[in-house]
Amino acid sequence: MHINALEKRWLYVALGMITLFVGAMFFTAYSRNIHPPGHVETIDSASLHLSEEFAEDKLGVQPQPLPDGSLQVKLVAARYGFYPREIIVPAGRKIVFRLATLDVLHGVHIPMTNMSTMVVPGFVAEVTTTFPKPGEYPVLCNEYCGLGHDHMWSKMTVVAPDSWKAPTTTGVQP
Amino acid sequence: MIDATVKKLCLYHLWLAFGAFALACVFGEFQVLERSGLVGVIQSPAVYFASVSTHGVLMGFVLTTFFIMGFGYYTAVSSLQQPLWNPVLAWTSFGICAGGTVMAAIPLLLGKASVLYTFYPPVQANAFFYIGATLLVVGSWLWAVIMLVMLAQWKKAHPGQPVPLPMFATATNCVLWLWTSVGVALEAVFQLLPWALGLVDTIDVGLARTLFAWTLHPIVYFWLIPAYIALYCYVPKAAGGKLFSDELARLAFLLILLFGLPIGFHHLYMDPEQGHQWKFLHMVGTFAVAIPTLLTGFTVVASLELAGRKAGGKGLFGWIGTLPWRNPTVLAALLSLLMLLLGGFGGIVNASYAMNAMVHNTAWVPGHFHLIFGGTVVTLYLALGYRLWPRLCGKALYCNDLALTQIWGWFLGLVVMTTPWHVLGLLGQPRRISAVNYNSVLTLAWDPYELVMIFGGLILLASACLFVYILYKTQTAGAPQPEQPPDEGMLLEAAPTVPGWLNGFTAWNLVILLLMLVSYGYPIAQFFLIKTFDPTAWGY
Amino acid sequence: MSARDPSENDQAPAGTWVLLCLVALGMTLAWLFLYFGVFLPRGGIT
Repeated sequence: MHINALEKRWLYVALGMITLFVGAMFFTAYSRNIHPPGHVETIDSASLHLSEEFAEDKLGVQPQPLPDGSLQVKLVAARYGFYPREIIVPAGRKIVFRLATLDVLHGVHIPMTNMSTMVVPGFVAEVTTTFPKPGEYPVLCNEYCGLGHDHMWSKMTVVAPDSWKAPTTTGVQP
Repeated sequence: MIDATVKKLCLYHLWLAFGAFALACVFGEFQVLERSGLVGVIQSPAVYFASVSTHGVLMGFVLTTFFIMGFGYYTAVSSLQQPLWNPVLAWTSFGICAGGTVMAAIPLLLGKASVLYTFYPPVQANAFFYIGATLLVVGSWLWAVIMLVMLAQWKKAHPGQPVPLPMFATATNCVLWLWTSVGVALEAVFQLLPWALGLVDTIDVGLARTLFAWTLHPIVYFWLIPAYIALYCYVPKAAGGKLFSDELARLAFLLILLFGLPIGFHHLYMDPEQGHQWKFLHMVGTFAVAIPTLLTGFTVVASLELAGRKAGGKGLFGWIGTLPWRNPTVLAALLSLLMLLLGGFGGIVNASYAMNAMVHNTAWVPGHFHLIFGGTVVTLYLALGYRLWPRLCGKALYCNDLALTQIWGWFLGLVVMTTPWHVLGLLGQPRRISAVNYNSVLTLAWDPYELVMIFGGLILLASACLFVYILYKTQTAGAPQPEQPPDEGMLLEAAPTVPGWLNGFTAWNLVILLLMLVSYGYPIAQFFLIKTFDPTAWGY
Repeated sequence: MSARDPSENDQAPAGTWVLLCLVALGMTLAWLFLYFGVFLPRGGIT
């Protein structure tokens, strides 16, 4: 098969560019653990209120951190909000979000941060991230979930680590 | 060989396609106005989501499928210089597709199928929506069979000879489409239809999303390949030159077929039902499929460069100015290539594994696909419309200047509409909302972009109407031109020989099967191995 | 077209080569900026 000399050079340039991108992602995946959410765990969405983990009085920021120091936040996605509707977390600390949906497909995204995951009926969505900047952030649903989708949002406040106090119980609803 | 039957068949397909397109543009402008919140009296989530669902189905499934089928019949007959095989089957295919479209359109327009063009369960639409959509896909399979039979007939009559490039590409697209549509067909037949008809109560959403993802990526190549046929087969000659490399064109089509299929999980990066390893694997494949597009860029631009140099262009870039910008095919190609560059880069960002978190389901995503699909692909569909109409109707194109205005308008409208759309995505605006209701200061940054988008949409709507007008006037009032010169785009000089592996698909189907088994085997099987809790239907 | 086709050198698409190299450079810089300059500073993700 014949290929023009300049086109062959271009093919190498293109391959080089692609390899650079894939390489950067491979590198950050293995050196900094940068991955999209990918934790496959099932749950019965229809009986969340009866589950150990996602019963109403167990939701929100968990008082006990995980063994590695990260905080856990448990949320239920349901038409039309993420419950509890307000959470307060410290900046700079690893936070493990675990979400389940009570009804249909939802997507959760906190703009200007890397907190993003789909919440699929029948599965627990787990995503871990850190919020470097304190501030007030909206927590938005970004997957069509019905005619009230426009109104599906909650609030997260990120405070400086020194001003943050762990909650004494779970299930704190504003 | 393009007789009255074929002309009629093509015109029916293309009118349905372009009619759907123009109607969808009306809905589109309504949507961008409604979403801005600036016109209080039209605010309505129910109407908005019915509109978005209809707009998506018309643009993504109706415009595309009917255009591709109509153009396919034209290509097969013109490039192979053979009569259409089994016209009855072709009309049957059209009937099934058109019937399915109407069947789906009724619930859509009545607001009973507001599940968007992706129809993810467990939100459930009226059963006729799913039945209609399934019929549209099944009808298209009959078209693919006709294309492949005609190819086989030609190869038998011309043993060892290179398949004419336009037909090689069309056949690649048929093979691609048959493999691609299996995903959504499985989802429809085994999951959505039994569930919508009440035969089963629950549906495995993770499995449904995985099967849909199988289709969702390669379907965009199904849409893109006819645009690439225009770029490789029509554009070089229209510019006054010739195709830079026939073999590399074939290679590009083949690589799109191989790498475009097993990579759907970049649509599921943020999903919990598939693990990291599979997402990483699909990411690598997605980056691999960028290569044939990067090659296409070179081959097509090089063809243009040589044409421009032939016309007197000097120096490194002088040839750009000496190209025939007043030729609608060339103009469309130049603008389409520019949008391919920008939209393609956006696609690379989407494909970038964890970085997808920055853009997933934000306004960036519709910004991206309106640019790459509405831009790169549809611009060339419109240009092909201008090329085909004189031949199908035996009339001269109504007005070259209007065609140029229309193409520039389409480009301008897309730039004005999609640029702010991408910015809105980076500012965190979610997609698929009908209005902004968050009581958050962040949303104040969004308003100016929404306002600009309204004007982009208006320009696009005007351009779409102008396009339909030009075709209509050509057909009804164009200067009669019953004798058309042979279609150079369909009758290219091939390389004298082409290696066997670039001339057929039998062995490649085995490679595809292997790639699909590796990429989707376990990820689909897992839903039958682990215990899943399937939800029931929900309304909206 | 054989590798020794004499018209090939006059036909070298130098403008295309330069243009596309600029495109590749632009895309590379833009991607690196987005990945390391915007995405990662927003916080890790797993």
